Amino acid sequence: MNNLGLFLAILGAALAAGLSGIGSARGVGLVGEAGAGLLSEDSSMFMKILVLEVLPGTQGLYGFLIAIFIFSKTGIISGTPVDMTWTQGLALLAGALPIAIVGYFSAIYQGRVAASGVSLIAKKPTELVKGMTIAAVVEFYAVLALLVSFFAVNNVNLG
Amino acid sequence: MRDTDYAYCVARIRANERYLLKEKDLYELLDCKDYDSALQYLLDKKWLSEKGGISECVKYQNDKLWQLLSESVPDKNELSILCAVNDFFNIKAAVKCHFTGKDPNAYYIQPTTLNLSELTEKVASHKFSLIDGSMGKCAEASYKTACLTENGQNADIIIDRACIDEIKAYSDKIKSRVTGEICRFLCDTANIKIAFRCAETEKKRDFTETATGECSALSRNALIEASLQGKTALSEYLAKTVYREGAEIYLSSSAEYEKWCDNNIIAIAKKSAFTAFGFDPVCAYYYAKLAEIKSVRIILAGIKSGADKSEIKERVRALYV
Repeated sequence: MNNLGLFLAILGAALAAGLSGIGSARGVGLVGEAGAGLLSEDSSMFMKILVLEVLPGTQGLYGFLIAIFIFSKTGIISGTPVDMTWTQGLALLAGALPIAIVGYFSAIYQGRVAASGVSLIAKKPTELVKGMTIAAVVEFYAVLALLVSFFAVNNVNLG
Repeated sequence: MRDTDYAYCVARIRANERYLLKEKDLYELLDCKDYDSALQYLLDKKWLSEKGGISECVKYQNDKLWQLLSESVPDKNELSILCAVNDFFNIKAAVKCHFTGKDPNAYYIQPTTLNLSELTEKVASHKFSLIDGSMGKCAEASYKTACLTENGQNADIIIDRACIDEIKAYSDKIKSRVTGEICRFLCDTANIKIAFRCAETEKKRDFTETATGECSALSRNALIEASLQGKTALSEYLAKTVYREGAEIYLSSSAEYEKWCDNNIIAIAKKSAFTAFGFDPVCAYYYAKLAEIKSVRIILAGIKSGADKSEIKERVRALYV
């Protein structure tokens, strides 16, 4: 039973890092495609595109942070995993789900908005701030999910 | 194909939209004192690569447009619908020139998805089956009709009808809203033109039925019946449809009707101005560029012939930007 608890905790960490990472990769990839299209017409736009491209990458970072937090809390990082029941492991898994799910979808949607921002600056090069702002609004929900995951994982008592 | 597959393409299109001529530019072109200064104006705007005539202008812009689209879209086959009208026109030119012994290269138009030298050879050697899809079938049917009836008009309507039906079939299956709407508009307006011409020349039922293609917002049967009864009956029928305005314009001038069609296509294309992904921005840009090229050609031809500025201005098309 102790192993099941640890397994569930690791599953939670894997989902947090994995799903939000996949979402970020898809989002960043989409902006990258749009950015390449614009660069082929106007190479001076590189820095502006880069700013928009990194935006959907943050969800992957948030998921990674929660995964590290779970590893730290369960002693996996130090190499001495703590004993835990399956309900404790399940609680950690549940705590990881908000950032895993919201991170995945918000990164994709943010990628779409940021890619649209690339089209916006393609047509109106001075509108980078507006393009960034509309893409950054999507980030808000990823931040909320990060906070929920953080508090949930933090309050699982393994003592 | 997913709409996000067009991310690269749409970004390139949006970047190029910045360089589309605006109404102000056309008026400045119109204000040029003579033909040479008009060409110089276009050179300054980078609309021309080197000084040439109207045909060089059109060719340069068409080539540039086609290069951009074919480099950008994820699947080049998607572009075939944009060139359907040109492709079928080229088939018609190849078949006609085969009979008249003229050089079809003088009549071929760009952009086209067809390999024109191969098309000439295939028509000359009657290898119609080697021509892509429905184009091969209609080329063969047109050729046979021309042989049997020795009437070029009967041969033409087969190709025109095939073109309308091809565009209509495409509009039924395409998911892109704006492209579909443009295709349906193209079919309906082409059918209205055919119906009016048939009515004006008092064509018989067989001819009218063969010439009239599939419709979208119109009833094909009702259109044919109205056309057979004459222009008045046709106008009365169209007055009850969404094409009331177009019918009224056609009655006053067919050239005005062409302008009305072009302007309406641009109005539909403008709906894709806020579309972030998908084929619609590509289609909209294509028609935007065609309208721009047409307007520049009208202005240049007008200046060259010494036409009155107000007359030229009346014929200039609506622009996308």
